[in-house]
Amino acid sequence: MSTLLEVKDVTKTYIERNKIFKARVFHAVKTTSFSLAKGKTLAIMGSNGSGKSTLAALISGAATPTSGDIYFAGERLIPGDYQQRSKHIRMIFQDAEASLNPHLTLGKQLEEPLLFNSALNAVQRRERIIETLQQVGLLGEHMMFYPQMMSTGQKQRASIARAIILKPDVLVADEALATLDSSVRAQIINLLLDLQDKLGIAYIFISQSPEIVKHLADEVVVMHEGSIVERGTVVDVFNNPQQSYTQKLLRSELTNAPSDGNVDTAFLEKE
Amino acid sequence: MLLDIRNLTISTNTANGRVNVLDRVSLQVDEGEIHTLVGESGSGKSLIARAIMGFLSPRWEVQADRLWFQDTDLLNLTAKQRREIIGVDIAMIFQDAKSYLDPNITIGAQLSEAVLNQDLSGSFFKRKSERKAKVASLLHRVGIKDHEAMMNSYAHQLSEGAAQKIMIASAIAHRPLLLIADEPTSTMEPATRQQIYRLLAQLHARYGMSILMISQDLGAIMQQTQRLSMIYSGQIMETGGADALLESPSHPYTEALLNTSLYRHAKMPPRTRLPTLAGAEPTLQHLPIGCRLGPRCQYARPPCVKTPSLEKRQDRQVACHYPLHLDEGKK
Repeated sequence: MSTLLEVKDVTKTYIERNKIFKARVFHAVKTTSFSLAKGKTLAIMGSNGSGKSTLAALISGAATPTSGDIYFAGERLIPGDYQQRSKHIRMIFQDAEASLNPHLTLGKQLEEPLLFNSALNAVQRRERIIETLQQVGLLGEHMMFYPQMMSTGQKQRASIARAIILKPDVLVADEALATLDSSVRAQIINLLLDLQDKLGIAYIFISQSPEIVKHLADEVVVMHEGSIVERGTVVDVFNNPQQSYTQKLLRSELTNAPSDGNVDTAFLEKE
Repeated sequence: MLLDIRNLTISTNTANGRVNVLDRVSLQVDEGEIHTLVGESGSGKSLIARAIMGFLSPRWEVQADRLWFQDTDLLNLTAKQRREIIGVDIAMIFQDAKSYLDPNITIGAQLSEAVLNQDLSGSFFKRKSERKAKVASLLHRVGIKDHEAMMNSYAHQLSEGAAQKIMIASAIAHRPLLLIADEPTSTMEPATRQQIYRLLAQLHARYGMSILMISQDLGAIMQQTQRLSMIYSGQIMETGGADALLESPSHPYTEALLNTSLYRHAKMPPRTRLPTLAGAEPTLQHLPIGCRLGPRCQYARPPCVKTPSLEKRQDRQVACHYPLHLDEGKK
């Protein structure tokens, strides 16, 4: 299995200058490397502030790494060269309601990536849009629709359509399922699985939910405070987590059972 | 019975005429009970909460056979009478706690507002210190130990979980009999969600406070839930004991939601396609007649164009002409 995407020693540091001579340095992502094979799914897990969303932004090109490089099929991805990157790596976002432009019809929004990144003429673009809409379970007529005319599930389908219209090889999904209702979420999970089988897209899934990771991913990377603390296949990590952080992450979420929490009950008893 | 709602109908005018957003909803909450109302977004579950609190703007018309809290009719209250109940005996917490806190004043000042003069016993001159002590004890009650630091901080400095604890603290300031929690944890990460659930469960156990919990996901409901009601598109589909309902759902909607929840499929092989409800929830402009689940229901038959009423079947109430998993009237 050949490597499709390779992340090599990437770091991201934010410098916050709130005082004149002092700067606070925040390492959002510490030296991180991993690779992704074609048609596979990698999940990135971690609690809030662990750097997983920053990592997603680095891969998709929304942020520039402080050091390190990202290679796609052996070719270095130059930060800022969106034409090169957008043909290979696309992203879907958490909030389906907010990620579409309310001023444009769906057809126009789907046409934009094609206008900027492909040499297709108007007729071919239209064909491609209709084909993509059908792939995600919408109809060609949805070209005429404005986002507010669609339900949340349809909007998330539309943002998936926008992501796959350039026929990318990697799709980065940043908590793309977190805010969906459970019946819609099940539909989108099925859609993502179908698309992967049909088009051979590799996914990078940023998620906090062990259930989703377990169901969708082949490999998992656990992040904590900017660095990878554990990695491996889903089966290995879920059945035999090595780090106590991973164990906590999986346990607190997998079962609803109360664990030792931070809510202090001593005060309750006293009163 | 603490809260008794019978045939609550809320309607509003849309471009296509008058629409019943809530269609004859009945809901009961007993003393000391945790009742969870589950429905997907847009199903009208927050409208119920707002109707109870009296928050709805005049463009929503509220009608009900009964909307009683203990022996008070919540539908016909003057503003003054309402103030004596809302915020005192009934309190509510919201989904996005941070946006409900005042960004301009400190947490301590906000919580002081929630402490009423009538709750203080000392003389006028002692009130300030007494009030501060009350606020500190409220913070302790929701599990915040360092009350000084918390009272001096502002809303933007708090994490999601801490902000929700502040909301809970101000909601329980008067020992309400009923706490309405409108998706208090849906934007939180799972570990914080468990913390808030534990806190609510402790308050419930300690003070016997009833909780009407509103949730959008069967997978994330509180473990301590005693009763469960399912709402779909403004109609109550099924009500009953939580364990019984999760064990063997009688309504096709409950079953479908359970099936789509990954929590139920721990043993399922990865990458299996999940059973789903076809289509999407109807919009207000295109509500189907009769049972609103009808067009998406795999068991639907011609009689479903007549709205089924919520009828008692064995240990639960089901609004379906063809309930599942019940011996009587098997399909």
